Amino acid sequence: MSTSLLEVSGLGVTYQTPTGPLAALDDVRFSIGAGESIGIVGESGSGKSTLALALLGLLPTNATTTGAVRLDGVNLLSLNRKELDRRRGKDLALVYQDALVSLNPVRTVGSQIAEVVRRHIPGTDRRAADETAIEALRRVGIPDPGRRARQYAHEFSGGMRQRAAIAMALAAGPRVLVADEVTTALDVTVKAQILDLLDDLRSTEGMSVISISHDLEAVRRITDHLAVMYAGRVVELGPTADVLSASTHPYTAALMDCAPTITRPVISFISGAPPKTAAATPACAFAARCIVSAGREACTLERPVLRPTKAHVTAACHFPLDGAAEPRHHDPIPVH
Amino acid sequence: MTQVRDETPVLDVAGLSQRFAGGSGHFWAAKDVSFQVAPAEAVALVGESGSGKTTVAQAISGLQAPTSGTVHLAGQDVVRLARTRRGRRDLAGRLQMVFQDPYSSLDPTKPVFQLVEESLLLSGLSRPQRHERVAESLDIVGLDPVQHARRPRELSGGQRQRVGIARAIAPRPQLLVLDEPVASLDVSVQGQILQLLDDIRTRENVAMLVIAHDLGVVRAIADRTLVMYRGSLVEGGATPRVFAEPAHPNTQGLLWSATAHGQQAMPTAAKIALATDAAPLPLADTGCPFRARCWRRTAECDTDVARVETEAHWFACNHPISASEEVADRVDVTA
Ligand SMILES: Nc1ncnc2c1ncn2[C@@H]1O[C@H](COP(=O)(O)OP(=O)(O)OP(=O)(O)O)[C@@H](O)[C@H]1O
Ligand SMILES: Nc1ncnc2c1ncn2[C@@H]1O[C@H](COP(=O)(O)OP(=O)(O)OP(=O)(O)O)[C@@H](O)[C@H]1O
Ligand code: SF4
Ligand SMILES: [Mg+2]
Ligand SMILES: [Mg+2]
Repeated sequence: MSTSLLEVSGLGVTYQTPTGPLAALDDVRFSIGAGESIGIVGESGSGKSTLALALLGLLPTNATTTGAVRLDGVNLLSLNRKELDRRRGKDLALVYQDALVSLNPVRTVGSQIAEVVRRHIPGTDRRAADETAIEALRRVGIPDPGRRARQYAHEFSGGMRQRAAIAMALAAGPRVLVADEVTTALDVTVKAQILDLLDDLRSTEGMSVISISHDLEAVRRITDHLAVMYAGRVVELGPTADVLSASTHPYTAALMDCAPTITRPVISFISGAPPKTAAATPACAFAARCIVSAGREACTLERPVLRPTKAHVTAACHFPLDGAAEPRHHDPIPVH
Repeated sequence: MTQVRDETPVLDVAGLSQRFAGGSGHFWAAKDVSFQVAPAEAVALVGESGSGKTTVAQAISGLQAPTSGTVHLAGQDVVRLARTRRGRRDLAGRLQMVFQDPYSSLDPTKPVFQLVEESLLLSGLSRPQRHERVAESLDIVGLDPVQHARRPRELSGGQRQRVGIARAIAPRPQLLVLDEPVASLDVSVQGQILQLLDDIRTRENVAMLVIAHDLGVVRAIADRTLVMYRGSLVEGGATPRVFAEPAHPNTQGLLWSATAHGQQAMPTAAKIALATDAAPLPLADTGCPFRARCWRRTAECDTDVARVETEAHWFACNHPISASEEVADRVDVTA
């Protein structure tokens, strides 16, 4: 990627849990320039939301962090609470995976968005902020936004809440948007509208987008780079199209073959479960489920590190796939 | 595939309507919704955001009394059951719901094991029996014992969703109402959960009402699909039939939008009409709810809408798309 705005290096997060420490992220590194976007996909529980929270300094108190997250060269992890508060919303904004977390149940949706506007754009009067809030709701495709602004979150449908949370994150014009599953549970039409909006903000305002998503189609549409996570680590990284259409990591390839489609109504999944924690084993975390490995020794003895597997793409695998583009679904990798 | 089963339906929804106040007046979030679900049948409810799916699910689950209409679960009136403690206990044993917002629907102060056990407190099982069933349910959804002592905020989004599913299956209900059960899961875990739901359905004879935006998911698990628009059901039938030969323009629009190919193949007139911003409908409206977005609309659609019923397929439209019509990018379900 070009000159980076945000640079994540050696990021590790460990949670203290009743049953001992849990390494949720291990040595995560990537960077993103102004107006660029990166998608983060991967197994449920692989650490994607943890990454989002770490970027914004919002991890709970039972988490310890190592490594660095640099925005314009400043390590956000070393800032104090007050300095972080000032940056949040304006420099970096987060849309939470659960929309209801960001919405206050006892205030109208419009007034909450207006407050974000006034906090970050000094000198905005109340009327102007209210209007900006209505406009923000309109931009995310909420019909009749003037009326909706006066309603409470519980009066919104699930998809509308999700959109309201997006509107709130966008209200102060952040430089980096971290979007955690923002199009989940949106119908296709609304989803397309949100993706267009994010694309538009990237090209017109140079907003950078870090998009965490299970929706591979959405990721394909709006990100230029992609990081695939498995058990707390990035296992494949490269231009989105290259990674998705011809994956070199066996996990990515298997994941790609699981998506049910209208015309291919089969249920498929990768059998087995990921290990509980990434850092513990010296093995490749995917080894036990990997059909490419098929029990080869290297996979259980040595942890693979990211290395080039084809042009522009790196993957952490001892036996990467060749990643030659071939039509998918005609000859799918058997996943169970 | 759907067979016509002549057993008593598990769920019988008749004339269900829900009216809400919406700032500039009232509107129907659900309007005269009627359908049935047979034992062990999987029925999907689809429709755009705000069409009323969650509203219907909540009325069925006894969480919100409808403005009018009835809901019967295995012959019992849900609205009446929901009024008393005993009735709710009865209801909890027969019907469980998995909510659209997994986080806010779980008590944040309680550990996972206890959250699941709670759904069995009214079951009459002894404590050891409960614990056994809780462990079994958590195992079925793939939550590791080390996670049992965690609280919801210490879990990932997908893990929380699995807690919700474990809670719902634990009491072995006759009907599961699942509101976007897999949207927050990665596609592989989605597959696991869908397979799991399918297993539970056949093994324990559980019927399911599934709300999902992902038509691929619907196609994979539902015997029958119902399409909702602005509070009204507009089409319903066997899933392969509805996907291959949608009659209602709304259904066709959803199917076109579901694939990149369909989006391109969509005729311009339809594209323009479908993108129209439709104003709320007055309470007394008798026309087709979809007309503001419809490219086949005529004057009669403003006041009336015809209902056509055939075996295994029905729809409410004055100008339905016929199976013989040339339609761009019709879904091929022969595969
Ligand atoms: N506050 C916490 N305390 C302890 N463990 C936690 C906490 N938050 C998350 N975890 C654990 O850390 C791991 C990573 O969780 P995270 O939420 O980052 O996953 P994710 O990739 O976002 O998954 P999903 O796709 O399901 O949302 C999981 O195993 C989760 O149980
Ligand atoms: N308690 C309420 N008070 C007022 N309006 C409500 C209430 N609950 C829902 N609504 C409105 O009713 C309509 C239907 O909402 P519902 O949540 O049933 O939609 P949905 O089909 O589940 O949509 P989504 O796919 O976005 O979850 C929406 O316009 C919503 O704003
Ligand atoms: S009844 Fe009329 S407006 Fe409604 S879907 Fe059919 S053609 Fe369109
Ligand atoms: Mg997450
Ligand atoms: Mg809903």
